[in-house]
Amino acid sequence: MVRPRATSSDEAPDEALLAGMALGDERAGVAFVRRYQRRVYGLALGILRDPGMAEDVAQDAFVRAWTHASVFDPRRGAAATWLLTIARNLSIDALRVRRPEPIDPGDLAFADLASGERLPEDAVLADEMLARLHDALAGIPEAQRRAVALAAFYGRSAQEIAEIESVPLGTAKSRIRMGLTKLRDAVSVEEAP
Amino acid sequence: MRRDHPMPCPDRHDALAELALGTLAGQERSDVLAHVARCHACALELSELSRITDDLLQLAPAASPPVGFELRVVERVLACSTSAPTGRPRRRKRHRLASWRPAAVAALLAAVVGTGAGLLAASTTAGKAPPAASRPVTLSASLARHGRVFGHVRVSSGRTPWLFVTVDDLTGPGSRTVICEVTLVDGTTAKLGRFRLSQGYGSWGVPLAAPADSLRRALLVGTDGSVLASARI
Repeated sequence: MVRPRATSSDEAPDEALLAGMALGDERAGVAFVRRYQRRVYGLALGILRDPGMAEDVAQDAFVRAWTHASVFDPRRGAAATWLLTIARNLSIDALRVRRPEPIDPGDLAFADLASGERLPEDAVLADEMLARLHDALAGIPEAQRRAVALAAFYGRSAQEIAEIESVPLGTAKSRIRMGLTKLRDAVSVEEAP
Repeated sequence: MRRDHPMPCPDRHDALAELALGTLAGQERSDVLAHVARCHACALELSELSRITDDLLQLAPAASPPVGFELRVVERVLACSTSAPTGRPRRRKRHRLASWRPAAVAALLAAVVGTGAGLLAASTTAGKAPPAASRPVTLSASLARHGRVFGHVRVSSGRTPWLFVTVDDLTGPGSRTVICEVTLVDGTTAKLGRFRLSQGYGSWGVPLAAPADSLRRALLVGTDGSVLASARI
């Protein structure tokens, strides 16, 4: 009898894999890494723009998730969100330590998120809500989009964004707030019955 | 615009967005958190904005990490589990043989289909005994040159034989590609595959189509053909 190649770990939900990892099931961990490695590495690479640093950070993120799987609480959010937040925070830490120079606003990888250059088969955009968020991001003014991207992906404070964009602090704060609330409203309107 | 819940306090608008984005610090952060704890409308606003912030991370374009990424993660986690139960895991720590868990590595390597395995299978003489189906044995050998150890080669027998290489501080800064070659007991050689070293460090593995005991030597070769290190298995 030929055993199927796909294992139960490959098909298990994220929460089950994390539970298995917390109990020391390496197969669950391998399946979890395999499932998210492209997204975690992609996020780190987008923030750091250095493949070597991005791999280090992505590895750190998985190691941290694996070794802290026992504290993951599915009631507080999705596993993907938890993992990507870990990767984002580690990327920002690495960026602050290893690349202190200011960001060139014209070289923001994530400010171009809504450029429409994404591959149509991208699994993330298969999620209807995320596709709406993607479209909403394309629809807000560029200055607001850049402010949100600088804060969300690079961890830049309003003061830092004001300096990077050469605008008053109040303007930077307004851009952040207006950009984020517009995104929220766009998604909320779509979600309303 | 959908507003089916109370409006947040106008003087907290900006700070709520920054708090949701994780960029608020110091006293201002403490003040907003204290306010949110007693203001339902602002707490709701913070929750919604935080969700959008989380979702934004999922818009980041995916990208394929370098080959062997999974293996390196597993290596580090296993090292962490044997040497540091809590706290920050040590990086690139050499493992004791007993720390390896063949089931995990075999599960991982089952997904790795390297061309080297085919080469090795093609170069293997017919009629060799199949690998033992039970009691897998892991052989370990130092990867060295001129008496200096640069890493280890491990070969596991069993139903899924595999070879795994870890390299520590082989060369200087930067990245370079190295090729893993093996010599069999009958004298034939085969290239198993190539992988990259970053800052002189790296690890890589491949399932074997030949019995583990048919390997005599493993070589790490530069792309120019120079032998960088070898291990007698």
